[in-house]
Amino acid sequence: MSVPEQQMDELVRSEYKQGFITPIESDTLPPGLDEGVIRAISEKKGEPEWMLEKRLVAYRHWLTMPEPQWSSLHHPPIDFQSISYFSSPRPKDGPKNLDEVDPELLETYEKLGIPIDEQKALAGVAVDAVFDSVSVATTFRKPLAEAGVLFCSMSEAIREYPDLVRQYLGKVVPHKDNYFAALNSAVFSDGTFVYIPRGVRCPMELSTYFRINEAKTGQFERTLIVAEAGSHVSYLEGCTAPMRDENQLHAAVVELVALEDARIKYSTVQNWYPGDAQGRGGIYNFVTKRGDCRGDRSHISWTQVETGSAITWKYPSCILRGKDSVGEFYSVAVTKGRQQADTGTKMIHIGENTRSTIVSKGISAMQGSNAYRGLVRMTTGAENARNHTQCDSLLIGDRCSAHTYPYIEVKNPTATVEHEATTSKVGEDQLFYCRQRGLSEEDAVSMIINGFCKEVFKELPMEFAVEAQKLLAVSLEGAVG
Amino acid sequence: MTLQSQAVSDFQKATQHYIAGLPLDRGAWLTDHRWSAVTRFSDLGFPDKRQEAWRYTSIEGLLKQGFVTSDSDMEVVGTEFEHHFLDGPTAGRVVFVDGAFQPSLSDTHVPGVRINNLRSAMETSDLETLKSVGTLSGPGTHGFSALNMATMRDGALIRVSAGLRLDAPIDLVSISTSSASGRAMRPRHLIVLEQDAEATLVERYLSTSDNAYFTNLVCEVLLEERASLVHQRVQQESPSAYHLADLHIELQADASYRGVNLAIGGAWSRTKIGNSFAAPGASCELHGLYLAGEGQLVDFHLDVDHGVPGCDSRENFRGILYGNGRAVFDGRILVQKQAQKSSAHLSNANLMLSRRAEIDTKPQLEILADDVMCSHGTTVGQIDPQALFYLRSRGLSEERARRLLCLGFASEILEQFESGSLQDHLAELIQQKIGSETKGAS
Repeated sequence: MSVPEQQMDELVRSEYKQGFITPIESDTLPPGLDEGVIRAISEKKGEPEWMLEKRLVAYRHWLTMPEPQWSSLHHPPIDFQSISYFSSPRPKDGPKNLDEVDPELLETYEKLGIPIDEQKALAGVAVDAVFDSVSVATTFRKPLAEAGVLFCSMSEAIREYPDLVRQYLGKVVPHKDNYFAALNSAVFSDGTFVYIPRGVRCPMELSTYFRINEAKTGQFERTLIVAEAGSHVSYLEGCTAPMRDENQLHAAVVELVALEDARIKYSTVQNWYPGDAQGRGGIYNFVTKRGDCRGDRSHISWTQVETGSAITWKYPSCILRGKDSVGEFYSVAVTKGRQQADTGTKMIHIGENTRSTIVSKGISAMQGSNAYRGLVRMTTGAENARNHTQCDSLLIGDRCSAHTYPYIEVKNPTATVEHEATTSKVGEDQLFYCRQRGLSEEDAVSMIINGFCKEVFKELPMEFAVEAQKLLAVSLEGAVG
Repeated sequence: MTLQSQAVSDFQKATQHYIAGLPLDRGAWLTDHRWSAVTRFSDLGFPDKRQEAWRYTSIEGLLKQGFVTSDSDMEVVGTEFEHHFLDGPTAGRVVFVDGAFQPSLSDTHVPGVRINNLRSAMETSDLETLKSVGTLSGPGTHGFSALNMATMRDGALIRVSAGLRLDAPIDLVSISTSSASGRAMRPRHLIVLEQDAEATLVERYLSTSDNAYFTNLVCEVLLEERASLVHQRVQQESPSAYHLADLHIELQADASYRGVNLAIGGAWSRTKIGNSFAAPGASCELHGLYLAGEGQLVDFHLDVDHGVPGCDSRENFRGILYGNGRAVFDGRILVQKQAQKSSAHLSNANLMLSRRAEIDTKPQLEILADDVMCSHGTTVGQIDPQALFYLRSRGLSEERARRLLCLGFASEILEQFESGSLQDHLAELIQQKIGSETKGAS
């Protein structure tokens, strides 16, 4: 298939639709990182002593770690001293409801298509919107509270539910886990805390919209979701970011804990600024996401649609500890322009009869580079464990690349592992068939790509599924057909 | 000092000593090659687990053995080894015993085929033949291959003339006896098929003892335009042996290579097959079967590099693991930017018969061109209980049924050994090896 250069150029030049900056005063720490900065962050957030101690331990360990070099990503070295580690919209004493929220901020959400007010009534989605680093609006607290669900910012959780936070924070992703997790453990600014009590089915889908706004500020989100025995929660994470010239670092950590019979569904649509046609700007997204299926018959499912960021480094994983526990990973990653993605999952099978499914769809266009990197490990105790992995890559244009690096380690003869991967371009025969049925080339390609991703999209919650399809169409506009 | 750095410095000394002890009349330019390989070795050191290609394969056991770089000048006469030769007609035979070429056991007089050995080529300063040595392998990609270059002693040099079609296979067999014990042998083979030549080469590593020794092999295969080679390789070393093989294959326009690799012996073995296409239209098939049982580690690395457009590659490897056997499989396919219209497909299937066995498999696709068809598939599983039940219901004992199913699993690869008698012999060997394991219900 030939790619019309002109259309491609138009796309490259077309402005990032979510690229705007909201001028709000913010309380920002000067760039740089040392123990003083960490103490300042902790103090600003009014954290207890033990939390500061945790941060400092992580920071000291981070100093001893080398930056990882093993991925297929290429980027100029990150100067961690040129980043400001804390930025908070105008310091107020925590808005109680939407009326107290800065109207300019609300306008920003309007532009993004997140009408918080309407969402309350229409979408039935409770939104914990993270604007830069501090949660400014939390809706639907009351109905959730009635169900016993705790849904609040991490800072608030540290203040109000210290015992729960201490019990679970850093247990799934310890600070020694990797370079970026250590950094996050030291400097995390805020994030979301969700606690679903025993036997509770969360009455609505929970959602956080992340938004990086302040120039030169990294976002270091920390999310912790604990699902007690027999509970059920679906969590949505969606991201957009305004246009920036400088690379912005994002190193989030997400920890999920599912106890007996609990079920967590975590869905992400990531559409941060990918940089311009020359690869300038764009978000560096280094994320550690891990779920611990601690209880028997627990279930964790990761679904992600990754279309943004200059660099995506992300491996949502499941530790399948409980008997009969299930881990799932569904992913669509699109790279175009000079975007690079190195993403995949780890499924660590420890318990008996554990099952995991991996479906990864990579689409590379223009000079985009897309890598699937995954690990399936069957430990000696993983009796009758089962994994099926399907990784498909679609190439659009002759300057892009797609890589597949699966690691499969099996130590139990009763375990069954299947892995398959394919790489090809949009089939000429498929295209020809669609064209001769009267579809335009662009529609045909769009249809084929949607079909290619269908397996993943059907795992997304309704609202996201619609958004994801739109996002994909916008992302690949002009790059195909 | 760690084991690694101690070993590096020991090997450096031993290698320098070895080269200094070589007679001077063996071609000064070759000595230069050797010294540059020593430098290369000093730079590289030995691989360790921090290197991606070695993350699952430890060389600690190998280094601890302290194998000595020394040569055998033994010349065997008589019929002692005859039963190891290929049955049926052959187009030449090259026999090595304990790393040394055996002129009286070999048959090097085949019209149109130049069969020589490295040692005599060095002794007679046959520069014409020698100048091709190392062109594909370079001075070494890791410490061991650099050591091979630095201290290479003997090996087969086979050149098939343009347009010649050999009906019978060339038999290349290396036999290790009890006197190889404790020694590191460094064979180096060079196989060249000129334009339009067609040949079958059977390359085998056998042992007559249970002793520990180390085979550090480098084999270079060059296929010129439209040449076609069927390369059947059998690694059947002693159960205590260490075997490291580096294969470098280059295919020119429209050449075709079909390799089949059987790894059955050795305590520790690692085979790396690097394949590169120099011109469009070439095709490469790699097949392999590995058995890893009690105390064994078998490692296969494939590195298929599509650097030019319009080439095909197929890789199909199968493994059977039992006892506390461990296998590592790493299959990398690289399609470079300019290599449009490439087709590359890899498959790796593993059968685990025991609770203590382990498999680490890692197929990789690195695709930089868009008009390609590439895929890989990997499976790890056990004997299908339904198939077993079916065979049992037909009156077969559990042991026989399991053995039959294993053999069925292996047959897809075994069939690639075209010679009936060799195929039967290998099937028999496999049955023996897995026989004891299949008795119990794992």
